[in-house]
Amino acid sequence: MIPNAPSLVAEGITLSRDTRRILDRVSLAVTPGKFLAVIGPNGAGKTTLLSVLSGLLKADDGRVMLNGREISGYSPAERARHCAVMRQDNARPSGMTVLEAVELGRLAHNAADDARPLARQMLWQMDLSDLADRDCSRLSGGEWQRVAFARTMAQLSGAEASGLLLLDEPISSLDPLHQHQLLGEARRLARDGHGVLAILHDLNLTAHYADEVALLAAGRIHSSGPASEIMQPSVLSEIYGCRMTEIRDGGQRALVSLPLPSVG
Amino acid sequence: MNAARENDSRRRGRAHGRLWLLASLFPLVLLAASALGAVNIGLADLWNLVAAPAQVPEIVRAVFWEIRLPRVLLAALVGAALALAGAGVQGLFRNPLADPALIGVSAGAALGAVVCFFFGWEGLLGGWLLPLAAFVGGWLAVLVLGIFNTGFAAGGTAKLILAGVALNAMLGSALGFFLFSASDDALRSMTFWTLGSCASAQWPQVVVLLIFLAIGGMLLWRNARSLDALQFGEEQAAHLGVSVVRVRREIIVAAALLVGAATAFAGTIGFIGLVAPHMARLLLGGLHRLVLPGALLLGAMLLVLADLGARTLAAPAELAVGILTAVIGGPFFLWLLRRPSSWSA
Amino acid sequence: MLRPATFLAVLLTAFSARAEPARIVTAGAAVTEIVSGLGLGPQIVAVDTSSKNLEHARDKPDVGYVRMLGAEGILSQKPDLFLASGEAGPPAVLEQIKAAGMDVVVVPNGYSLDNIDDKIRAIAAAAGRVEAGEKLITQVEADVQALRAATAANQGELPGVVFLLARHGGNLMVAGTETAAHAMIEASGGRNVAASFTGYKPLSAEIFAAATPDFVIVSESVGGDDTELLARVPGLGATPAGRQLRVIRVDDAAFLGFGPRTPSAATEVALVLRQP
Repeated sequence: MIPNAPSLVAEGITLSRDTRRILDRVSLAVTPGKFLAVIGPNGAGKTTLLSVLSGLLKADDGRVMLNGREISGYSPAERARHCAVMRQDNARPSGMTVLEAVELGRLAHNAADDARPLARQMLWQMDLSDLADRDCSRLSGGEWQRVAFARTMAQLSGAEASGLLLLDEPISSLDPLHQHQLLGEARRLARDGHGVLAILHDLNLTAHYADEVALLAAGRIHSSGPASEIMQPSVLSEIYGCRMTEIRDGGQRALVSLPLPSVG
Repeated sequence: MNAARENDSRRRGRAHGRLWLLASLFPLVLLAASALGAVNIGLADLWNLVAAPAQVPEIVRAVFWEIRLPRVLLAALVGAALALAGAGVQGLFRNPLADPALIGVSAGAALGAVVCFFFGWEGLLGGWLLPLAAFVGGWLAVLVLGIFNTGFAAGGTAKLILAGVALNAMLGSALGFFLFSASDDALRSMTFWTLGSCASAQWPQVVVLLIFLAIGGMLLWRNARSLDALQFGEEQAAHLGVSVVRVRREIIVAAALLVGAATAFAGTIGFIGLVAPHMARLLLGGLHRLVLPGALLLGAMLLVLADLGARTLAAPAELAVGILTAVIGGPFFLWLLRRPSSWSA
Repeated sequence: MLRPATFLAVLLTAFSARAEPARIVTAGAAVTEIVSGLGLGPQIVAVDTSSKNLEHARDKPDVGYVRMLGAEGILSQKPDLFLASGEAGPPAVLEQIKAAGMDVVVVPNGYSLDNIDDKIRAIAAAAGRVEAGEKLITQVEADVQALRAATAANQGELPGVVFLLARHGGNLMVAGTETAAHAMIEASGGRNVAASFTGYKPLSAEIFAAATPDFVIVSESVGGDDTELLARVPGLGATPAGRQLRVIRVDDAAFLGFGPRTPSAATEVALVLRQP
């Protein structure tokens, strides 16, 4: 494989439900070593895009290539070894411990014997070791989100070639400390050579952690490129319909969205 | 981290210990059920039946080998099959109220049997047409349901459950029609059949059911990890590498084999398929590698004990086993529910 | 491992020389009545639930509902003969009892008075009481002749009759065709007005739309007086015909059992139906 060739390429993804066009000629690429954030207002089609990118949903038009092969050609197990996905709607099982849940990240990997120590390591990395024996049903929403991320990391571990990590709003239930922790881990995974795509809502954190940003609005890629180019108040105000202003602090970029209605 | 590991291994050990406890209780229950009955067979005779048959009265030998033992074993197999099917279906639908009946097998099997009685065919093929008709009826229902086992993006499982509900209602109507139109004689036979009973046990049925239990059990066992992953939701399970549609098909096929065969030989027996898997979960946690064998053992023991009651409580008369499954299993289940935390630490 | 077939063969030969049985289990009220009629009442060691209403069987152990018998329960009574009516079952249980080496005789069922003779003959043969059997048959035939005499005068329009069966919970069911009650209405010189369906069906006023019955036959075990009973029958009590309606109470076991007492039970009903 050519180094730094994109591990996931989507070309002209188009999807309609009934007469409504949900995705309209969406193209993007996830490159190993990079953290790509997909941002956009509610209903822009982000989660649907993730379903198409991860091979669960077939687009009406366009194609998705995973490591040079069309994603529909993968078996679920094979796909799972290349591409780890953390969905928003993760049900919390009862009668299963946190450790056991994280071990299930290794479901598609044949060598099951390393699942236990690996799961422990991931829990430790996510600062969750104390919860290892807690029943999943008794976790808070934020704890469960971190457990789901630990499971996704366990799944990605030892991925063939460079792995792909797809995250759908992974920090929606987390407090600020753990938001940083989780996104920091995601970025570290990117630095380790994996391709990372995350759907995010927090523009400040996006600006801070993402290398690249794709801005999705009404089913189309409005703009994409390096985070520093996309995360401009003028662009974002237009897309979100909400006044944005930029506050810089000690040379670091920080973007603050003011919760004011657009000036009419 | 060390403390956590200790805690974890202790608990996991406890669940395994409980499974072993169930496994060692099982032969004791079988033994007790084989020793007890309307015809008195003492423990000494029970031993002699194997060790020194000549010392046992011929009538006792005949009762034991031809009537009691096949009946105890059939009850164990029927209970095991129903409980396994229940564990699979509940895991698949992630619904604690899911019952193997939900996929239409029981109603389909009942319809097959009732049609058989309606036309007076129950004695044909040496009495094998009746179980065959019940089995085929169950299968046809499941094949219809299989049409709805399509993708999952649009809520495949919910669609499957709704299809099952509609199918059950339709089968129920057909059943009602035959019950209404049946002659008095046929009606009484149908009513008796739908009450469920292990009284007709014979060796060939035990063998056939054992084969079905082995096939169905293997199908479920090989999907145990997938069933665990399905607890996160079908989409997430698919991302973890589960072939959701295939797993769904295999679970439903397994449940249909198990419930179809059990119903064919023992009529419709409720409660066990719903409650035995729950008992297993309460005792052993939610991992299907523990739940499946646990449900199998609990279901088997439950029905063996219920059948023991059915043939001894009103002896020499028979009670309907369906009444007793709930009487015996219900209090135990409620006790499990009441315990502050059966599984969760 | 024991070979079941071997010792079964031994058992079967042991029983093939048929002597008068010392211990009999019966299933089916008519069968029990016939066995008693043959003078073998004391030899009966257990009966089914339907026979429990018979006076002489009240104290015997109960082997359960005739269609829901258990092999072991019957064998535990150590009978040397098991006599069962045609409806006895499940079939596999009868097979099991046979397989355990017991003598099992299933007596043919049928809703016909001629059938009673066959039953008696079969039971008498199985119990080694052929002579007593012939005596009982003579008696039954005399009763049948009396019934014929009672119904001979019936010409032209037969009186309309409806038979109400009390099921569990006090629900009343109407007897259609292919029931013992239908056969008995006809044998007694009546006309079943509910002949548009088979089996026992829940009461519905529409049954009486086409033909209004002149008589209601109901089991004597159904409580309440006639007025109360008719009030429970929708669409009947209120009509003019309903007011003239007469209620005949019968002993279920005798009237529906097609046993030795059945012809005389029919005669009693026939005499009532004949009254203008």
